[in-house]
Amino acid sequence: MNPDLSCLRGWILDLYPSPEGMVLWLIDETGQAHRMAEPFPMALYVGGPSRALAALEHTLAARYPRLRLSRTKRFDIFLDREIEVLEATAPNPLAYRALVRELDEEHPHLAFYNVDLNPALVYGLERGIFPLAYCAAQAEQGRLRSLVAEDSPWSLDYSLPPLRMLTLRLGGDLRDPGHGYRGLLEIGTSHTTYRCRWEKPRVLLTTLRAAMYAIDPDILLTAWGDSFILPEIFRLSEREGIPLPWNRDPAIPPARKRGRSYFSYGQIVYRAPSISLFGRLHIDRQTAFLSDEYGLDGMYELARITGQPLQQVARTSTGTGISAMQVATAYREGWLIPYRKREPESFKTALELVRSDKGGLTFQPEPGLYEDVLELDFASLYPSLMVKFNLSPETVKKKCPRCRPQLVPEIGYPVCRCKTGIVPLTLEPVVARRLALKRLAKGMFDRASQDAQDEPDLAARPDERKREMYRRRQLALKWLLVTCFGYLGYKNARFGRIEAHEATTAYGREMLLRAKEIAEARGYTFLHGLTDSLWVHKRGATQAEHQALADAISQACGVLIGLEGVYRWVAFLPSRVRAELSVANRYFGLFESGEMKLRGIEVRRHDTILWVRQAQQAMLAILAEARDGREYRLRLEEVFALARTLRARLHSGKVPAAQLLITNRLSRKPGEYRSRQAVALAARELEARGVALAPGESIEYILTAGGGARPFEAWSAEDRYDVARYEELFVRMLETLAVPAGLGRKEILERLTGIGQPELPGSEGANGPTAALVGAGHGMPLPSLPACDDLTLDNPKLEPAPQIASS
Amino acid sequence: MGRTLASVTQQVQLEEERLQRYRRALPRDDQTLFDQLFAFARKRIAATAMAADPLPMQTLLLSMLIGLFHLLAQMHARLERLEKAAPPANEPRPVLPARLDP
Repeated sequence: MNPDLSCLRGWILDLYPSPEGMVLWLIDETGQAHRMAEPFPMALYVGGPSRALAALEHTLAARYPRLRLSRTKRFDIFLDREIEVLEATAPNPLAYRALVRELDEEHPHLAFYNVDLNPALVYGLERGIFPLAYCAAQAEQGRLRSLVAEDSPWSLDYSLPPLRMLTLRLGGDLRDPGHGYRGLLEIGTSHTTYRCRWEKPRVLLTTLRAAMYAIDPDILLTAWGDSFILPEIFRLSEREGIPLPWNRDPAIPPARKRGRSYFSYGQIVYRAPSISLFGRLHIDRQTAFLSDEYGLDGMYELARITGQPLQQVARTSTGTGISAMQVATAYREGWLIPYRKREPESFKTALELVRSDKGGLTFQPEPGLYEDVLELDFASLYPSLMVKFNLSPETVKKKCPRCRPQLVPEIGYPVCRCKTGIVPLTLEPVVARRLALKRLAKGMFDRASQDAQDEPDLAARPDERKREMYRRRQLALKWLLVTCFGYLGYKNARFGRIEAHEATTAYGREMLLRAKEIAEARGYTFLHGLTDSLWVHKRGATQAEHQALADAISQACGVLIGLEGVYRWVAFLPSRVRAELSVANRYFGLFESGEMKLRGIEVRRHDTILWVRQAQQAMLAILAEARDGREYRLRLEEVFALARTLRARLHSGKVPAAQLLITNRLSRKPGEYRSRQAVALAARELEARGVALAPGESIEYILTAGGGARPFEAWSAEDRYDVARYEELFVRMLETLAVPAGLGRKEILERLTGIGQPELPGSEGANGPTAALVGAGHGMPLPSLPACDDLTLDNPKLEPAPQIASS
Repeated sequence: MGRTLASVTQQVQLEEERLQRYRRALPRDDQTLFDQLFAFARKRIAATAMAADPLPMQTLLLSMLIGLFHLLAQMHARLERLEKAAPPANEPRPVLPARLDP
């Protein structure tokens, strides 16, 4: 490096295009932010008949003298050969975007490649850097002269910049201010919180301004900053003439995107407006994709791995992340990146369609309570299969002249083996990295639980924090991998193709069946299987035996399967419509480790009201003490005692309204509802109060006595909630816990109201169809007789199985 | 997936709906048995999916048969248990396939 230039070491915070080229913000070791810019030309490619390309070249050369034009050959992965293309290099990313818009409008018949690339991503690829990378940079008066990464996106332990944060949120509970809620504005710094009243805008603005100047935050972390707080402060700031230093880059104002409603998978979704900053980052935890799931740790990980700046990661789905990674792979390899795919689905015979058009394998376990059950899970099954069997849009069901293809089981598609496809090429390091992070987190877990015995105070255990960080990072990768499978089958995805998707699920079914067969051959009883997990039982099997089973399956399948755990007891739940059948993904159980696994039951569901969720949580805590099926039934007594207390409270009318909120998404505009359903009533009332609502937005309301509903914002002390309807929700939750022990709805109601308390049905000779399923201390699962156990032809009084009330 | 073709769960549903007139004409007791047979089929839905038969009814019938056979085996085992506790007086044992013996 040139010693005359100042050399800086630090982390890349922000990257965005500008008329100068690309602007880069570096945070140095002391936390100081530095702006640097450099010219950055970007190229696109056009394919088509030679004469059409010549004509286009001529037109563009005449119109844009600064455009560099040349004819070249590039590899098209879908055609599996090089094609002749026109390369057009724009002097900077903004000119590139303008050119793309123009070409798209004027030449719809030509094929465009590399036209909708994210400049920050391409810049990173060209310079070998990525968001949050630790770099050495040399600059001269803000002009970047050299940039070298001293970091790799794949390093497991990376350092992060000393980020300064300022938080903005409304006081009180987190509630959508778009529906009328106004709390004090809380401006939080690392050491203090200022609370400002909206009625005193000048005080509010000057306080915020002072805080922003004092802290000069790298990240503005808000709750509802996109939809309410920032727009509202913009408005006040303009009205009062008090400007605020939103961006570090003074040349550009914050970027605003309007909110919109759109259809996705048959459901209407509302995307809130967004406000992005330049030189500092605005992250709204309410709009950030899965922010509750993996938090900032996960977002940092995604920014580094996908090459997308942090502000974009916080506002787009992990699907966009995986697309960006595939684009990066193609870019690195020098392959053409398609714009709008023009490849239709290939023809299939009806029989082929019947065979291939299915997803993961879903079994139907016998509903009931089981003891001593082992759960095995394939780790990232679909991505692992894509990597292992080279499943990619350009490798599946394509004729390859160079190799003898491998055939996909069940559906027989040929898969090219001689060239690694773009999807496996992209995924392989991600799958490996997730596994490594999981192992790190698990290693920390074992150490942390050791520490926990010695040191009960959580704050004094640094390992705990680190473990959580690893856990969140791997969780972010998990979502990346999950969406990558979806994108493989999505026809609009750049590198999606339905046949590759079908091949993946076919391999998935094959592996689950292999796992089942191996378990059965080793004396295990197969209880349940669901896409990439299976539940088996073997009386008296040791941990070593379980591990040997997992090893044998991993070996036979070529993808790793892990021991999720051994359940002391696990309940597979019956369908609410057909009690004799189960719902494959509704179950809950207690592992030997003391951890509970809950799937599809009320506590896990977003549409469960808080009061019911908390009640179930407390009840599960009681059941977590049960070591087997017999104890489960004993503990159920305590659960019912608690249920009676809670029910009495509900009937007294004293449950706070905030705990009874039902959240529902609007499927249309409030005025378009024809029925008097609760969500319509609440939406109309909100609208009458001057709240603008868009389809896809969620609202919260309370069911009121007399069949009505009121939005929480309009709730007053005189309002009465509907005891009967809330009681029904409560009883349904209770059924989830009591039905596996053999209780029917009638018995549950009797026990709840305290009218007649019969003994719990015994394990032998009980009438309830599920009764015999209770393990009752036999130390084995009792996937007992089917519902019509007592079916005999001379018994005309065959009762249909008791059902859980259907909706 | 699941858009072009009915899923296997939907197929069972369709077959059951197709037979609703048949079910209607059955005596009430038989209707319950009819429902039970479809429950047997539903419990073996993963196998039906793997069979991928363009005419699913024959796979469903097979699932129903297996369900019945399963029941028979359980009853047989139960009978054995009861007989061990109280052996019948000189009655010939019912002849059942050897495989049913536990």
